[in-house]
Amino acid sequence: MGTIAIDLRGVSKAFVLRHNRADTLKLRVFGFVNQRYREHRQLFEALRDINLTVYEGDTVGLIGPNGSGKSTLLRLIAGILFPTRGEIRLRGSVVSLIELGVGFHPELTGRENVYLNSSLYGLSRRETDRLFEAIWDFSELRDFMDVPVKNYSTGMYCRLAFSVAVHFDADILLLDEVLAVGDERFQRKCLERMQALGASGKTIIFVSHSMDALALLCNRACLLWAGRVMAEGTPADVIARYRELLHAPPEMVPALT
Amino acid sequence: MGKSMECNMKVRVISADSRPVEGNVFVDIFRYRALIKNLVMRDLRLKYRDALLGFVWSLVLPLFTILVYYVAFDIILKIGFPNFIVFLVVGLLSWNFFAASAMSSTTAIVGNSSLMRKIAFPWEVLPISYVFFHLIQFVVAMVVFFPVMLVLSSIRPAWEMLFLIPLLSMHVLFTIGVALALSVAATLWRDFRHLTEMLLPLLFWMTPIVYPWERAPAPVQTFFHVNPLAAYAIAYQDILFRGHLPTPVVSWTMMVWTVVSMLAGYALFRRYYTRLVEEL
Repeated sequence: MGTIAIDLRGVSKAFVLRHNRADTLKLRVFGFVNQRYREHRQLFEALRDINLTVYEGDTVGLIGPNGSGKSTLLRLIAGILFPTRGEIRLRGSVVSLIELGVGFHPELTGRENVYLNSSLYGLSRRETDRLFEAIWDFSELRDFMDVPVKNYSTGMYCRLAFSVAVHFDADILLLDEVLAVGDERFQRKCLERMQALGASGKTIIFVSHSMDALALLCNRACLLWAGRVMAEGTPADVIARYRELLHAPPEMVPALT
Repeated sequence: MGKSMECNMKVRVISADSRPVEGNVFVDIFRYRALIKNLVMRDLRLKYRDALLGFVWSLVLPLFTILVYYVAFDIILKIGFPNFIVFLVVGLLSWNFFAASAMSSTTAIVGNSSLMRKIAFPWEVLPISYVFFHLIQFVVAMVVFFPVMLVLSSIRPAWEMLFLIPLLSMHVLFTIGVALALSVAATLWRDFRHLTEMLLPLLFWMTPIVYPWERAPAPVQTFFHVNPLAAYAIAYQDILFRGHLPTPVVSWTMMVWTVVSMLAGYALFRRYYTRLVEEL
């Protein structure tokens, strides 16, 4: 047992779902007059009492069906959302790659977007200067550095975004389905890069629906189902349990919502 | 449980009422100064992209407004006074800085939901970057127009004009406080955007920008004493047009309101920080 990198203790997250959301005065008035327009609120528990300990250097795969709370969990660890109850302890710096190329603007050049994107993660100009060469070498897009990214193909855009993302030097990386990038050769390169990051002692939490990628990259896995941790352990065991649940008759399975 | 977390690295605790990133708002904002700069540069690049005159539009538009008021008040209504155009430049440019910052801060958070949903960064950076975006245009316009006005008018450079630097700094802090408060308010209650749009023109005419404060009736003059925008307008005019330092009353009004606006902006942001992303 090594050092604990991420520790979730009794974490719950409830969202207030607002049907017919009455943001404006007009809607409030209509709601008052006509029942149909009235705002009604419903509490939705996306995560319930999650306890999870991740050790430094672990690569943990998060699996579960759509709406099981994977992304919410990732956003809580990232500090984008905040738990309703419970506590999350993080040791070291965190980078969340929930989507690639966040903040990329089509009218800006590749170079400008790299600087904007990395500053969103808190990097200073000088820190980005230091990573700059490595990013462009990795992306293989050096010739397009000063071209607006609106002229990039989708694959090129993703390659650049992925290249920036994997060069951030954080202790904890949160990845959400960002592996499917570029052509097959570049995808292999991405997977290798992720394996190298895992091997270099970084803690990685990885959400994916690709069981192959999970089995390849992760040394642990965690199954979320309806906002609860249903299984935890080696990827092979957890994937087996997931498949079991997916193919079980509906009445045997805890409801998803 | 084996070794625990208290080693060399910093441990962060996220709970129901924590702040994202590091914890101290001033440290956070300083650490993310590159982001502020990049957001400002992005908006400047995008604003007049493809326009033939480019950044020159940032100068032509206020100049045109100034000319409109000059024609209306000096030529048509004949209520102007010597160096009226300098008076207009000083008042209108500083007002534009505040009004444009306030207006764009109402969409600072709502309009950047795609960023906020995916990366944790100190969200105060968003309204602050809009204030700096308008500050740059204000400063450029002043640097270009004011020397020209000095040459064309009978106003001479004076040492009092150096007071512009502390005045502008305080004006920026005041505006940042307002922008922080408005950005949160407009996220929680979308009406605030339209309310701001509606009230700004009223506030404009209730502030001695295109007329000198002495010409207003006595009750309105009393209102100037509590209106922070009037205090700022009068202070700019005192330094750059009338050639004396702001009176103690004006200075105190500015200082008190700047502190109030910073505290209110900070408190509102702090209070609703954890809810902002969910309200998008």
